Amino acid sequence: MRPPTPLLLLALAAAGPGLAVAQSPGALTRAPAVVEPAAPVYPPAARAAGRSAEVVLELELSAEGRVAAARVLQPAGDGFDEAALEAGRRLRFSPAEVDGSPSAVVIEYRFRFEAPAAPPPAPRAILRGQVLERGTREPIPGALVAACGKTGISGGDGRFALLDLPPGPCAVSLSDPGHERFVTEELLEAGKAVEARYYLLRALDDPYQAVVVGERERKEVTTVTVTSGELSRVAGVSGDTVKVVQNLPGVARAPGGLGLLVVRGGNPGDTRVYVDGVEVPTIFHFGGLTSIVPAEAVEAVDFEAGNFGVRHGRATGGMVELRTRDPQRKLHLVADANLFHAMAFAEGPVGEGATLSVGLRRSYADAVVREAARSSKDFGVAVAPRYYDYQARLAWRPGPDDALRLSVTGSDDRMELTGMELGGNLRQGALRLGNAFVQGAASWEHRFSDATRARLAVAQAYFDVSRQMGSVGSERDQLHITNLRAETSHDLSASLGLAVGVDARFLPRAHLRVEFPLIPPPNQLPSPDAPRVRAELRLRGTEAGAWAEARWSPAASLQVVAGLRGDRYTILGAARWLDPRLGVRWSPREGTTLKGGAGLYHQPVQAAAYRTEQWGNPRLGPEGARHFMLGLEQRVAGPVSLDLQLYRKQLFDLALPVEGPERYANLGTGQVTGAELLLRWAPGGRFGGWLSYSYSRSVRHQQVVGGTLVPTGDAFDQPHNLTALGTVELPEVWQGLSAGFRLRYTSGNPYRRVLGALLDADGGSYQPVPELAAGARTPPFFQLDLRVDKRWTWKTWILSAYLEVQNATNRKNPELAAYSYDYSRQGWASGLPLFPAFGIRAEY
Amino acid sequence: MFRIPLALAVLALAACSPDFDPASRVEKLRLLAVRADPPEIEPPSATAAAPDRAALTALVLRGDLSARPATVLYVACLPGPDSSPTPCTTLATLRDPAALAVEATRAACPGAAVAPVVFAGAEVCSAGACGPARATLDGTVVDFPPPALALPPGYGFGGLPRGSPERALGTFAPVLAFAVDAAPDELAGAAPGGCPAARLGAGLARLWGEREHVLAEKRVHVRGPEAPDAPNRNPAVAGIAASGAALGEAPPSPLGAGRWALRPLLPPDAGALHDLETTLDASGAPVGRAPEEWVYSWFSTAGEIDVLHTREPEPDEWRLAAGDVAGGGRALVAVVVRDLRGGTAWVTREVALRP
Repeated sequence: MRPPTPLLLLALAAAGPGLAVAQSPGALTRAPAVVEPAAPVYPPAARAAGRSAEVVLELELSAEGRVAAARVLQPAGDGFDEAALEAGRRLRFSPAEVDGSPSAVVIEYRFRFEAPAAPPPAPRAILRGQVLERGTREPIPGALVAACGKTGISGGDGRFALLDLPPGPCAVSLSDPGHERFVTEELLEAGKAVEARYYLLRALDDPYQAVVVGERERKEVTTVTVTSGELSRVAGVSGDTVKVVQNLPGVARAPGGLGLLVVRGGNPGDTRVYVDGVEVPTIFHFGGLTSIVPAEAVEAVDFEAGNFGVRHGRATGGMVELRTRDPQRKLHLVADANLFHAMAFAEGPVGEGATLSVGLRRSYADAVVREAARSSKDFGVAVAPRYYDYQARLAWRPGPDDALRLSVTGSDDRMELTGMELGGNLRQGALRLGNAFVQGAASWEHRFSDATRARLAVAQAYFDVSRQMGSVGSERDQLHITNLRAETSHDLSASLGLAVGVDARFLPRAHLRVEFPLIPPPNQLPSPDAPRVRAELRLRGTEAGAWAEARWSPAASLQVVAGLRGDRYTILGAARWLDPRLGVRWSPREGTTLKGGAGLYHQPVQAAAYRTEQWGNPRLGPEGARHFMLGLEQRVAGPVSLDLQLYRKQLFDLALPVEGPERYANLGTGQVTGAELLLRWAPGGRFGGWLSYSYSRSVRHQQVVGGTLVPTGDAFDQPHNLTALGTVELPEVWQGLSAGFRLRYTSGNPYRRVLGALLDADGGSYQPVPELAAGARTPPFFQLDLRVDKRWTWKTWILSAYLEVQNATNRKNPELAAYSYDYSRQGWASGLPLFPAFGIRAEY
Repeated sequence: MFRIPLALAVLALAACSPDFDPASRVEKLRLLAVRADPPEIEPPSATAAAPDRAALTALVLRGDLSARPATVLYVACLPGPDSSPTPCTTLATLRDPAALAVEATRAACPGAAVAPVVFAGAEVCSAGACGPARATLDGTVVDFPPPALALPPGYGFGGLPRGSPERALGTFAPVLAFAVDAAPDELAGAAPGGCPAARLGAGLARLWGEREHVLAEKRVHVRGPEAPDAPNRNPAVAGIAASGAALGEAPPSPLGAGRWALRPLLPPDAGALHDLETTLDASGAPVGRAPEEWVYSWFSTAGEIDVLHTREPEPDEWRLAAGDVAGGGRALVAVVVRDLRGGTAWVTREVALRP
């Protein structure tokens, strides 16, 4: 046998084994060819590491083509050599031929190891969605979202996205400082995105806390602001916004729960009520049951007991401003029902930058009254007392510097009782009360620059008022009233700002048909048979004012507000005046503010009948008051603040009934002196509320019996008036539970004792003969009201219910002196006994 | 313009008022009505349709039905034709009404200065009937003038310009009736000195605070020369029916415990007495014309009357409980009818309570 012929190996660059044949003497007439290939086993470690290699072997082939021997010529290491040798030895070739005869040869053989391509990575998952507040569906920005080791923060719209998450079950947790932590689990699928909405429960469970948006009015010296969050759960007022004001310092308690605003000893008509800068002549249904603007539409209530600035005028008492809120940008639906009325409310976006809200409220106590009246022999019910009110508001922000608002507000009260004997005579008649008004308003706010702003508001209202008081008299008033308010402010520097404005009320058309007897002259026994004066009045005129105000801060801690206001009116008389006013605030240190104010205030005589030719004195001039105040605001600790005020009011030129043809003259004078304390715990935490104490003495220097239509402020002189109220959250007891209380103590009202009585032989009833000056006082008033609220919060809606117990101690609080038929015995007409009320509300 | 805010409060509080005895129950000295006959007077003139003088009398009852007399003294004020205020309606004087009686009775003495208040006579009333007031003073029997309101000579509307409302509306002369639990002898004897009228007035002032008393005001209409209607007449009532049966005058009808429907019995000519009334406004212009409405007021000395005032045709209800009739005895029921224009009439009936 010939020895293998070393053959030269030819390097082959192809993948796979390579073959080279060593050439020896003799001619290679046939090269060996692989007839049985053998794939080498890829070394596992090298495969896992993704390493490639090439191993060159020298193979001795027998004449039969078997591999007789193999050795590595070009090693690669990492196990490749061994794998190549093992595979090489398994190779079978066709015999090589040298000179035509099978011959042993030596060849080079190349094994190429190519690392397998990395397997495609296993697909990952995505979790994205939105974080919202439970119940209100408000987006929660800045919430921390953690899932499967990855974290993210929700954006301004509450949206978040977590990428590259491992598929499979994944624990997700969401947390935010103002909300309770939420944990859940999601099943993530490879290559897919899971969309989720998560609803977090507000930690302190106060979804009603107001968020003030937009520009806030500059703070007046004595403004107290109550937000809607505070308003909604005050015990004893069933959520009424204006009645909450009656719990603030400076406001006397009105008898029978009526909505009278007797502020710092003034007459009930001396305090104006505005809704968004427009005065409303009647703020309550039926003179005091509930206010015409539901709490749902109110952002906050500003109350100034006195010393208010020049922006408002033609009032000598205080000022209440209801600030309604713009509709929300998300759909919001509310249905609410309580003991007195039901309400429906909806708001939401209506296009780019615009939002709309509509609300309707209607009483249903008329059904109850109708049934109760069936058994009464004293009167019949032609129209049971019922009221409704409605509001619609459109807010549009065409740009960052403009805000436009349109609104429609309306209210309707109606009641008619028949068979009433009123006025001290036996003639029966109806007691009818009808109050209807509708008002459309438009306002525009523009920011010219950071230093300059302007506001314009116009409102057109129509009033239809009808009254009948038995056989005594009747009245029908139809009035068109246009209100205008325009103001602009400019900051001349960081320390000096100026503002000017006008506000006016035009009466382009008013038709009054009145039939009432002459108002009995003072100090005389009234005549029950007095004939009626019939008058048809067509009034036109204006009440207008212009003002200018400067705000000067000579130092960072000192602010001086000086203003001058001029007013003129031409409705039922004519007069003009100038009112200067000054207010100062000084903060000597952080958290402490001293304040003071002085000002002159005038108003037309509020009882319009006194200014008529038929019943009064058309030459009656305006009434006036000088206000003086010193006060202290002190932040006590955390949410607790204190406001202390000392004040004095000098009243002059008050309309006084006089004997003789003049009937009324500006001869009345009086003064009010007092001190007020407000200790307030700001809402937003577990507890919110306040303690209010007023000391007040209201005196009128002239004592007159009779001749007036409404009581004067001294009739409500309550030296001591204490109110404490609060609401506490109780999530530990029951999630969404809160409890509230209101405790009131006030001095009794002064009243004139009856010295005797005489029988009206023609009417069959007795008439009292009162003392000249009020020499007695009703017993003090004390009442505790309790309230419990429970809120159930689901993802997208909230159900709330409240139970309120007014006069929880069932105390018989004397309200008015009550007498036997001949005034020989006196008792007390007391207020309502323990009185439960409830309400339920659903909100989306 | 005319607000009635507190009316609602009064209505609301009415349900929480104390439970006083009803006005229909007579338990003490009560003066229930004053009648002027005729109810309208007029200054004398060629066209006067009414006399210038009206007789006055009162309905006085006691709860114990005793015959003890009560004296009723009358004081009148005459307003000017322009309806100017008078002391009889001024609160300052009404706070001490007895002083007014003193002033009026002193002014009635011969030679006394003229006063704005006039002594208008006196009467004695008991058991629902009234008669002349008489007292023995210093051994002399004195008859006091019977109650009456007379217009003084020269009183009239002539001084008012044409178109004055009072020429159509007229005016009202207030008369105060002082009823006191004392006989005239006791009153006049309590204050020696002065003329009989002055002594009567002084005695009333002295006993006014010590004895049961009632003060009433009667407004007598003085017709103007342009009054649109014929002079008003007093209504009339003839008797009382209890559940359909007329209560007898004598002997008293027996009534036992139960519910009795009370109705006034009117005389045959009652319909004709429903005069047409023209309603005038404060300027004297007519605003309506309708038959006058009669209203009945009910009183009793026992049991319980359902409602104080009724209007035809509804009856009233008198409830006598077993306890009311257990002791037997008598009770009195009275009805006063008013035509709401100053006209008044009444009738009383005694009943024998039957256990």
